[in-house]
Amino acid sequence: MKQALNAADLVDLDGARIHRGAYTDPEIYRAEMDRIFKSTWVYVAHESELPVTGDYKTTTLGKEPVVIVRSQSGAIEVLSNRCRHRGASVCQAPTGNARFFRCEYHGWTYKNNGDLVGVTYGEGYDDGLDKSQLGLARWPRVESYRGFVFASYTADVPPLVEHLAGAREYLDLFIDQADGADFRADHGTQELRYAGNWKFQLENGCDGYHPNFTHRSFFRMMSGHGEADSGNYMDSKAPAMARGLGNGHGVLDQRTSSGSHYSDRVRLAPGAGPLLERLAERYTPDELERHLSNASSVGFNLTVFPNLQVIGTHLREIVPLDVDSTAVRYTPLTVAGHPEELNQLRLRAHELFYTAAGFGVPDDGEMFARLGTGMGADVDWVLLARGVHRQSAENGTTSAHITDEVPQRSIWLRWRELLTEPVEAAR
Amino acid sequence: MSAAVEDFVYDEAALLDDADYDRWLALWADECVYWAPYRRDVADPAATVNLIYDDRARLGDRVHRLLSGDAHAQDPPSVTSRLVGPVRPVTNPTWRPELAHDATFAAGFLLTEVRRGERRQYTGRATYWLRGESDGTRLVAKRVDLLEAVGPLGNLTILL
Repeated sequence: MKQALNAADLVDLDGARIHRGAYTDPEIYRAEMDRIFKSTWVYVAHESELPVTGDYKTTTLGKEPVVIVRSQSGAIEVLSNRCRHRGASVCQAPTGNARFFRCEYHGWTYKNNGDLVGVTYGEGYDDGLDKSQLGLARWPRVESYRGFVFASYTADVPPLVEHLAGAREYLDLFIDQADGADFRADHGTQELRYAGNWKFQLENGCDGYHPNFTHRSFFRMMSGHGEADSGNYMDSKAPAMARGLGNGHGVLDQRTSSGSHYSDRVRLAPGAGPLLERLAERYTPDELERHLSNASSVGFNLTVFPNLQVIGTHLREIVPLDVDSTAVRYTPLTVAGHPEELNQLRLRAHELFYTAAGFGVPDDGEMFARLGTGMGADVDWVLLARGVHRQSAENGTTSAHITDEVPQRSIWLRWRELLTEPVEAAR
Repeated sequence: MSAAVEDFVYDEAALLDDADYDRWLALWADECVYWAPYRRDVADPAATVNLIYDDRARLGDRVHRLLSGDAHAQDPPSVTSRLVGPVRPVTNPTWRPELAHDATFAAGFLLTEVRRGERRQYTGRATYWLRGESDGTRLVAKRVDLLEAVGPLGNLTILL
């Protein structure tokens, strides 16, 4: 009989290599759902998805079906989408507004903060039913950082800002590009799926080594439109950084190398002409350049371990459905204070790369399929050693060249901690 | 309805199934819209996020990317087969392109894609805005409403 895999043995930190079992073993996946998705902060929503009392969305966090709701008190609650009576889900729609959630199986009713308020034919329970103990199971910790809502299934976790570590600085930079206005998740969430492990997407979203290869067709296309040296801002000579930010977080920071690439893309968007003319009347050339560039990307790709990536102008939530099945939820953002023309150009920039029919994301998905094929081979180790010799550490962050696998090593360092620390310490 | 319109719609589907993308691209007018919304009730594609919202330049990019040999999501390429239902005139569409056109028609379709040994089906309705030009009929706009657009989606790099 095959020996069960030990998580500690799957991450070889000295050799900067990962055993394929960390991506393919069902037992490891089950351990991840417990030790990661139910033991630390996970991203759950952007506040603008739930602007009004009673607004909710349903989703799964790890394997847990939940309702994320702005309850009557105004607080955001993360509730288990599971009736305490016989276990049916109490909320069916992906999004909506409700003061109560009612289980339609036998009619039990809960307030939108999860409290059980109605049990049908209550005389059947004598005095034995304590409603105060039978509310929808509630995730004990929910905190928002400037509109980004995170929750923890385990109560005993450090404050969210502590968890965010070096990722906080980049969240601030992202949010501050809106010049004090609020981001709005006002165009829904679009879900893609692929047959492969959830960490393929996690590693890919902070991988500065892959764009010029995986996305070659995109960069060649942009070169054809006169985008000078397209893709150079992520090549081996680019003056840009990949960084590990602590607690598994990481970033590709290409602000120092991206030049006018991002604004050029926006200027090429379908229907851009009249929008650009109107914007040119409103902004100085420098302001316009900055806004157009930000409409495509603020110049870094942020990963907040384990399930959030902030890329381009969207939020990306990674949902590990099974060891070899992953959902990726894309939520494009607009800015409440910006002119409609600018917000439309943001949406065009998003469509260019980040849809199932886009010019970028499907090529990443193809690489995930190829990883699935390749990792079927009886060859144990995946190498993440790029840039080990030239990285530098300072104040809890580790930095090296943008093509280096620093963010991936940051992910696995945290992964190993969470999967190997004693359960008593994790809970 | 003229047999010519029916033939145009069926021929267009056949060009896609035959992967004859250059000839397919030549069907389009110089100014055009190729649009696949996420929802049927979208009033203005410019004001929301779309699965596909191309003008002529981006549509050309889309086709040329597929032909470039570098579009990994189509390596290996998909094969497709489209069953196009009866072609019917549309008198009062909820959206229309701001481009000159002579006629609007729609047809239901069932599109089967096979890639890497897996079969995937898309079901929906395509609406065509057509214009007669001196050298033949041109596609001014095509709107493709997919049942599957609500998601989840995967690799949708075939042309619709």
